[in-house]
Amino acid sequence: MEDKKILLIEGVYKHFPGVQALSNVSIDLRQGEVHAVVGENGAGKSTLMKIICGVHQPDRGTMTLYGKPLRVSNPNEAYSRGIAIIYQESSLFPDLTVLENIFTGHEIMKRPLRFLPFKVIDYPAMRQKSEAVFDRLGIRIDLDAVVSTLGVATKQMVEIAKALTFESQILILDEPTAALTSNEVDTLFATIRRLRDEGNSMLYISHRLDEVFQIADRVTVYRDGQYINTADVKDVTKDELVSWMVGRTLGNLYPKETVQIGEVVFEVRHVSQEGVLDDISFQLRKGEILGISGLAGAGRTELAQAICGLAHPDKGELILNGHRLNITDYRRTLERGIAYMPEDRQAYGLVLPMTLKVNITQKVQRQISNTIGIIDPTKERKVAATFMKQLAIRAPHAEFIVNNLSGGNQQKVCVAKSLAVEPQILILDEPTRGVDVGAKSEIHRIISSLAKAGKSIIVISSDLPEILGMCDRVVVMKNGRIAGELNREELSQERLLSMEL
Amino acid sequence: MKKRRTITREATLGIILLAIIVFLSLTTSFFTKSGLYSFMLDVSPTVVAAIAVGMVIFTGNIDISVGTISGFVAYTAGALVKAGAPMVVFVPAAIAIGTLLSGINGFITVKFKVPSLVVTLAMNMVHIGFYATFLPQSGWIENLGPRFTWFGRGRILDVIPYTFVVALIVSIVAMFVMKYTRFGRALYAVGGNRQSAIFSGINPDTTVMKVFLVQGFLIGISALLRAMTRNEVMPSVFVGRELFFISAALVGGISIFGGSGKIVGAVMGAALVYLLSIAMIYYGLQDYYQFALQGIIILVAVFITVTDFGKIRKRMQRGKLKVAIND
Repeated sequence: MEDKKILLIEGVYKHFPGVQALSNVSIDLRQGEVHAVVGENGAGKSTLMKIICGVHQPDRGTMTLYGKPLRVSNPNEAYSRGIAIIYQESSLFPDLTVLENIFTGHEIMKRPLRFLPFKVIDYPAMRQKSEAVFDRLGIRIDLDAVVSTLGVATKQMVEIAKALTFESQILILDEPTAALTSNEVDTLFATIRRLRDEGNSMLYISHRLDEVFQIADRVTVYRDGQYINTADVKDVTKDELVSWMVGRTLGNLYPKETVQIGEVVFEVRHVSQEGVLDDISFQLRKGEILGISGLAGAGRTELAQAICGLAHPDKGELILNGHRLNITDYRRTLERGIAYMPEDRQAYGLVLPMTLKVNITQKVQRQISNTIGIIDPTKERKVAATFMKQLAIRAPHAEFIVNNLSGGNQQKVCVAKSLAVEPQILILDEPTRGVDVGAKSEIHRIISSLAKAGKSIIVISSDLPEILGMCDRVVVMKNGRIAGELNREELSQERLLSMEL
Repeated sequence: MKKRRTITREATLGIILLAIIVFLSLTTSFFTKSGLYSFMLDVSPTVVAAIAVGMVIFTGNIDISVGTISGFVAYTAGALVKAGAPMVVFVPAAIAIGTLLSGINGFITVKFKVPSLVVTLAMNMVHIGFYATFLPQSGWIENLGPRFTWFGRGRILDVIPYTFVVALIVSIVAMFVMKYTRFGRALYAVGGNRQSAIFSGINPDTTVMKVFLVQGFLIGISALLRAMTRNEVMPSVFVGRELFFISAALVGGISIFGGSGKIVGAVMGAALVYLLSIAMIYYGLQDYYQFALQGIIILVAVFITVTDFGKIRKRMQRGKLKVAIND
């Protein structure tokens, strides 16, 4: 591989009101490499990427592209210099078609007739160019499909295609796999390798260290807005990376404590829901952490919602502490002690513009208010304080707006919300998605201590190491059915994957 | 990938329109020279205005002062005619007033980050107050003469009003602009996903400012098309017209949340709103019944056009109707 540095960033500083987001940060990118950028939330990765593509301006520091100084004032300018970013959150327009999305902001224009003084959008030319790009990616896609009808993985390909229509040689991928299943990740990685082999360079931002080892050539670590280290991936171990990221060595990423597992407290018998769930049965014991694993679309979330009363299964029985439940009402399920923490805290889990206190007490409004519904502020504060302390939520006070918390702390608020109802059974849907290593470890510790306290926990996760590390038993789902069940002793990544696929 | 064939909102609307026209033609005197003429004459200003407010709604904004702005446009034209100005003067001047007033709304929305609903609600009241306080006789000007009305009352082949031709041209140009210009694409982008519009190099503030100017220009045309059919102008007759304009756009399938919809929808929405009121007149319903019934029909129409029944059914089956989750 050539050692040509095409993008060089040195000594960049960036200050936002209240935070020094970056201080003296550097990175260099070579021709034809995948360069991973890792760090905990708040390490400054995203800020740096936004500086590279012109969303923010650096306070100090130099950037050079192909030996020439790089100064970009907006994303389109970055695109035209050959730098394209694929954002973490989808930046597509849901109601527009694939073709319209790809060219929004840089439509190909032509004069409708030679003598006319104005230009119009040239759809045939745009169509031709998009087809060429998708051919290059080896993907077939309907250019006239409305984006909101596409799956997450396809949307991502559209974003990559959008970047490629700019003739970009540098691609920045910000957490591209956060919402993908392992199959889709494979397709994405194949695309990335293909682009790299064509000589493109990529900056790859990720929380998932395993991916770094799978896809990247080099890796750079940031912590608290500062540059820590750069290394060839083949020369580092995962533990080294983790210690650079957190500034200390994490003894154990998955601090699962051995817990005495008790009697069966909850049983699901033959639950079916047309087209979604097919004859699901399993048991859950006191103190047990049960994992539900499977590809996205296998019916994991649907199952969780069916057993906590959010959905309406066609048939099946739920038995809690020996009593048959016939629940189709989430509020009643909550009162019986089954709490569900939804996936995607931003969309379903939290009321972002409101305070910690309000969020934590949201599910226990009845318990903290009197008969006519007036909330007792003392009780409310007490509940909030209890759980802030129990989960070590790092916020200045209970009146803090949840939106301003870091991802990890937001996730803890989500857990707190479900814990506040003092459930016997806690269902956690993707409890650590999109949180940094430190917070992840803390959440795992919390889950473990809850199990120790006698609660039964169901963890739904796409993160295989998490499932492997945390669970006493794993139910593997596939196409709405249970494909198998593995005990802790039988668990291995290979066995799980072979059952899921 | 398989192409999904579904009936679009606009096609649904077209079918409903056709059904009403056929029904009216068979049961009333709608399909006669005078019936068609008066329909085209009435619908033209609303078509242009629905396009105007529709474009603003595309960006996720709304202007509820377009009724009162129309009043100012009409007054300006009337006053200038009274003062002896020729058409080449009073028409551009009146349109300029519309553009200016709408531009002020856009400016305040963009510059001071006030939601356009609030800005235009306030401006609506300011305008009404202005009519009563500062305009002589609240802006009522009569006996404007043929210099004012010849265009509004003119017709081709004795049946097609000149105003209808104008509305047609405006519709075609607007559809072209939405599909073939960067400005048109930017409207969808800003309303659909403001943040990614910024990331795509589109400046949302400039776009919103521009769309308010365009709206003002079109509202100017719309108000003139209506005013010039009469021998007098009275600004207060335009108060409340915004309800028709906005509902025409919404009935036409333009999403109130921005980022989605079509100009052709707004045009058909305007036609539908008018056909319904004509139908009610033919069947002898009184004014106030008309209003109430029209409101209900607008609700039903919007429900039909915005609801994706297939999707709802699918989600219910999957037990994943997302609204229920955040308990």
